[in-house]
Amino acid sequence: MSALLSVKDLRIDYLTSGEPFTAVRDISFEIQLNEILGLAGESGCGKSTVAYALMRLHKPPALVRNGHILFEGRDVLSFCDKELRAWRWSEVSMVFQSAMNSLSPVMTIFRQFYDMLRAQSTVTKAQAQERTAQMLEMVGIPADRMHAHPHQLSGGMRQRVALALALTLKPKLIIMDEPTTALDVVVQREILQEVLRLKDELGFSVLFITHDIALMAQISDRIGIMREGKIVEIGTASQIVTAPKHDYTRSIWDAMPLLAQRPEGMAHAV
Amino acid sequence: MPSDTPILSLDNLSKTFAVRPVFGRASVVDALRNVSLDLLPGRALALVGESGSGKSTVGKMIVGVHSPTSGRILFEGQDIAAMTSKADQMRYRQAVQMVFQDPFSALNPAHTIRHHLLRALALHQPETDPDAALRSILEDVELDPVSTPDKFPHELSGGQRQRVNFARALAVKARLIVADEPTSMLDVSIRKSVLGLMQRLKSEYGLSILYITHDIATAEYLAEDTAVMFRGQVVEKGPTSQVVGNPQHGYTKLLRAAVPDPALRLTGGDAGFAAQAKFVRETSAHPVSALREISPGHVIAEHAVPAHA
Repeated sequence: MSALLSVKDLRIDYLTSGEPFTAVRDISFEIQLNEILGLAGESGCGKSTVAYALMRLHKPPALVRNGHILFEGRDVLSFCDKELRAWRWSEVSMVFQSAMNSLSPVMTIFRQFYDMLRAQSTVTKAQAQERTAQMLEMVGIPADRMHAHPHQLSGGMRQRVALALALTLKPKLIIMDEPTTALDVVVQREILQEVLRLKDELGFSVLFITHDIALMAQISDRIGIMREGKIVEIGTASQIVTAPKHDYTRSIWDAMPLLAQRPEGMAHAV
Repeated sequence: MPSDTPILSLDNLSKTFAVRPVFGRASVVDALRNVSLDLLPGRALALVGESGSGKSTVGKMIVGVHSPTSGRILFEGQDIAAMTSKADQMRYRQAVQMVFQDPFSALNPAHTIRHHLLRALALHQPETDPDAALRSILEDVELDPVSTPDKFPHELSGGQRQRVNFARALAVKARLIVADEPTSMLDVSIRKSVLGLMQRLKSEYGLSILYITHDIATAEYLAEDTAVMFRGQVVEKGPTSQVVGNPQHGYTKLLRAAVPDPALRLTGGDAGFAAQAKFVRETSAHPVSALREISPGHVIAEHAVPAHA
């Protein structure tokens, strides 16, 4: 079976006043159907640049110099504006790091759903309300909160709203760029379990980007480690955890403060 | 518990904020409810809790940004509210320094590192040779003493800037550092080295550190004692090995279980964690009715409605 998304020799430059800076250096990877691929690395390694380029959200001075992005065999980089509009959100969606910035502060939650639904098809307000209610309940938010503005919700709830927005049009791939970094660990765990539950229920692939490699190991099927624009190692989650091959992967593990003793009982009981 | 007198004690500290929005009804937020903590000299106390639990409010009250609604803050046995003379206040402000979460906004972008540190040196150690002191302080925080002074904050990485913030605290000869999430905006890969720096400041200079964090794993790495806060109350405190290694309060257990563990795969099938989290949050929010000591120094809170019904 062919991959859902395949990236070949992708190279992205940032144009500067001097020499162009190459942020992503000829990377290649694939995401299969229903797979969670993790992309880990420190700030500035190019992981978010990859995410933005996959959605064609990169803007000058970022420039794709080389390579292909194939989504179900179609070349994403050659889409015209109309194709791009139809493709975004319905087939690929994105959850950004800070939901405070990805939701509009002056619109109610419902308005943001309505905008997206209207852009994709003709819907009545009543239909849109019904769909919004359904999506909010799915991520564990009472449906009557749809008339709230983003600032009336907690950080965790806003991130759930962002997730619900990303899932509404049943995309095949969701790109999550540090979706839980701004949240505390308990909320983070709740949201990630929600993602996994929805994935079982709806079936979609995820590109999961974070610098927290321990968290990534908990939910990803495969993990790619990025450094200075290159993927230095890619393998199954268990291989990256138990038998990292590259020195850099080992040094990331060494730099992580992990709990000395594992929690007993509860973590395994739930 | 060692018998030395604490360098800092919080005695039944409460803080209430009145929120008066431009629109809508005014309301009252109980940010802290009867918090009592002791920080012993030369040790680190980790204050752990989720966002909004009141841990940063504690830090801000210690450095005097907020004043307590009720309760006392004792510095070496002396109530800081009673320090009315200018000299006393200067001494306290010199001894207690804060390091903030955001290393990017804590330094003035228009000035070099030399300016930041020399200013602190001139104010608090006017008798020393500034250049020699500058060099030795930068060496203490593991920054290059030759190239760093002439750099501007934007030329340094987040980890380096955080080291400059610690250097500034050293320049005034601080004895207590209140570090409010000093590593949470840094990359995972350099977090441990900043923790290592704090560890060294503590063991070599005998600095006391109040380490405010939401990351229980780093608390275990650095602090001898840990207090866990939830909704403005301390729910569990004691030696870190006990609190983190053998948590007894429901909320601490929850926090402990939520720390990412690479060996444990998450699945979508277990709604148990979310249900547990909801239950613990509800029960732990009730006022603390009593503190129960379960082993020497290890105390857990009992709530008005039992947490384990």
